[in-house]
Amino acid sequence: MKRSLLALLLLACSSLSAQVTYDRMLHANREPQNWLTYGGDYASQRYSTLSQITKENVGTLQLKWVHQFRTLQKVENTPLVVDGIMYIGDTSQISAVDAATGRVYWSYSHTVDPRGVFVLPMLKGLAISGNRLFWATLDGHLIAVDAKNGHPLWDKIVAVWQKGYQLNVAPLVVKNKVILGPATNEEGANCWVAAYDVETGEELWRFDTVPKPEQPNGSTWAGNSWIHGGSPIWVTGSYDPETNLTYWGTGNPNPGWNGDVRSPGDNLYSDSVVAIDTDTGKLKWFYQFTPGDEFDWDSVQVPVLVNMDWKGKPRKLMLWANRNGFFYVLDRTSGEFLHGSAFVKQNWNAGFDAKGRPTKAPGHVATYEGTFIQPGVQGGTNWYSPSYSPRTGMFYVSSWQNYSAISAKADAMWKEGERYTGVGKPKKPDWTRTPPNAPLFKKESEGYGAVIALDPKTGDKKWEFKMVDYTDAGVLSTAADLVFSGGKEGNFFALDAKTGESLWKAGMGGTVASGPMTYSVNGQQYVAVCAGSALYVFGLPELKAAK
Amino acid sequence: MNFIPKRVRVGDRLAMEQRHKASHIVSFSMFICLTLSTMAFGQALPDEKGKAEFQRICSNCHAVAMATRLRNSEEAWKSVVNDMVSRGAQGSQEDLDNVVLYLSTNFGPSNSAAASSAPVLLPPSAQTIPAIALSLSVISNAKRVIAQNGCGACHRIGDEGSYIGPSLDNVGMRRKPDEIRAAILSPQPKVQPENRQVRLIQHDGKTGVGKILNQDGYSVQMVDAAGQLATYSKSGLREFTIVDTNPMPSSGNKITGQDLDDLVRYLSSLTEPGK
Repeated sequence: MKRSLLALLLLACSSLSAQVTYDRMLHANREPQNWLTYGGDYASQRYSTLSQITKENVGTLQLKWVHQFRTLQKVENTPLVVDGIMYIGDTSQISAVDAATGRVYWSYSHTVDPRGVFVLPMLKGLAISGNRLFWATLDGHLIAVDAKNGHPLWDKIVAVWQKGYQLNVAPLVVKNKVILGPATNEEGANCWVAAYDVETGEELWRFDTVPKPEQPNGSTWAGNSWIHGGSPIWVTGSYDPETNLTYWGTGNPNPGWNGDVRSPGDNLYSDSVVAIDTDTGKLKWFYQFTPGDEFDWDSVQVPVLVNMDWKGKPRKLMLWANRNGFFYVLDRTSGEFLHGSAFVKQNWNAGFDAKGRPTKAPGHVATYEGTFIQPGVQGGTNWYSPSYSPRTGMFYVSSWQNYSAISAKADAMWKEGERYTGVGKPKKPDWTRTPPNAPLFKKESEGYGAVIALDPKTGDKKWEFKMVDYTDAGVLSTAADLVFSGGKEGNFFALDAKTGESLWKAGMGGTVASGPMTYSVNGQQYVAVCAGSALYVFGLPELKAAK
Repeated sequence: MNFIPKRVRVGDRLAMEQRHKASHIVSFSMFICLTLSTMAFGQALPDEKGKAEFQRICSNCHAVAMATRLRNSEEAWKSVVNDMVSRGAQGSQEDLDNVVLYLSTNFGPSNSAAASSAPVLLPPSAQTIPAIALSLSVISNAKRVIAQNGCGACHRIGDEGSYIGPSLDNVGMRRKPDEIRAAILSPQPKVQPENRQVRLIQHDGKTGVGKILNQDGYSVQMVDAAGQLATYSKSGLREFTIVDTNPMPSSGNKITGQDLDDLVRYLSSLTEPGK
């Protein structure tokens, strides 16, 4: 009886075909057993309707299997799952594995140019379209790989690492386009968002995140500072089929800690969200979170797209907790600023004007001696994916609370192949707020990591789950009102989405710096997360018979 | 007690636990060692009026042995307790009076010498004999000063002393003589982060105090004065406080002249880690 049910289910799976069509991506919520994009779906809500794992049974979760990556670095990967097959990778190798057992079907390797020195050797994830996987490698290759056998279909250099670029993002596939952009780790290489043809790798359009002087907003860079303006792409964007816009967060201007050469000017489109027409690559609107930034507050957050009532009217919104410590609500059709409120202690913004432009608080500007700044350089949050649950209506984000820094600038000269930061050494480093070996002995007043739940309508904090150490972990929410996350302490945990109460935890022995995801195979729900340099997959003890 | 208890070192214990041979004998001897060390630090307190208040209030921040090693007049104990109140010790006036009464009754100038009832900091063994040649009289005088002032209630030299404060085994490498002198005379108001203590009260009222070794959102790891490693679940705690004020008393008016010189010279000569 069980076997026939299983056979039926297998039949049902194969009839879906492994082809991941645009239609399937558009309606990813119809197949919650899969995880088709980096953010779970085009809206990047990291919310799953799977509900087999509940508040009642989450305490019985057990480890099902582990995948060891090749790298010894921490892994920030969010896997894809398509019809029982998981696609995962690190910076040197990607693999297709059985999502129920972890057994490997195939692996494909790419040797990163050994001459390249990459400070952040991470791969956030892969993208899939049809039977093609897309892998953006650290050293600038975009590789299309046959999802059936791991054979490369095309391999194109889209960013030249020797010029200061690296690729970290999971690409985003929309229709026939693979969309992504390069990052520069403070090397002053100007970045972009571009679309490449899924069949050939040919570039279809490109949007420069630093305009040339003659282009619109080119005058927001003083002198020739635009030539090395940076403004990198570190994480994946989102897509709204109704507006046909794709939204991407951009990183800090270079040099990051000293704005003198860039000033006066807002340095567009650094630290912004850009809304780009997916067919043409033309900019529809932008909103800049931190104009003329001198504190490295990249807007490298994943745009979370939500349809909900705003002051009595249904609106198409974008929710955004920014590295600069503020939570924003924007209208995603127009970019209109609707709300901004601090979700951590901050001292740099004296208030927003009607259009949402922050007013820099006097005295909180970069100096050579060092400026006390809240939040500190790593921000109130960073690249970690947040989550939105339509059931609770709450926005969940990993945050650094009570966190501050003494930020100092130095003179900066651009030189090819060198970091162009303008970062200085504070005259008086204050260890009392951030003691060395901080996490072990830290007091709450000296900073702590927390998953927080915000009411997007008000920005109010509904609950807070405190850790001692900070956190780089993404958040997952499910229809069973569970929230999964982790942190640098090495715990992976499940919280009550309504109260923040801890319901289950596992010590992972390595930092959780990835976004957890969930999927199901043969009727069993799994939760997967990377910790240290491995992927861990949890499920309930009894394999339930498929319905 | 007319013998000096042999303290169990944390490393020895772990090594013992990993070896499974002769486990009964080992664990029995461990039991004896631990019991003795605990007695020396906590349980050998006279049952007199004020004992409960003394234990409750003073052990919140430091091992009680830090006080019981000393011999002071009532006036001096009063000033010590007042000093502690200014550092955060909490209790009613009556509680504090009882603490002074207890200390001056049982640990007054006429009570038997401190060194005889508590572990004495032994000289480091042969391999830690200082590179700088010190006369035997300097060494023995310094050791006497260390014992009389209860330095071992927090610090550790060789096999002797507490795990709560920083070990002095290689203090001569970490600090210049002038810095050691300054730290004795006027200690910094705050300890280094790695020397912070944790003070906790469990839901059942049991208290714990020790040096914090690690923590996460769910638990805290510490070592107490006797070297016992312990983990507490934070959900089982009523109170959890990380203490960064320096419990080291100023010895400005207590250790002077030749005693101070000898002590500084002796400590400066400690340049080897413990066994």
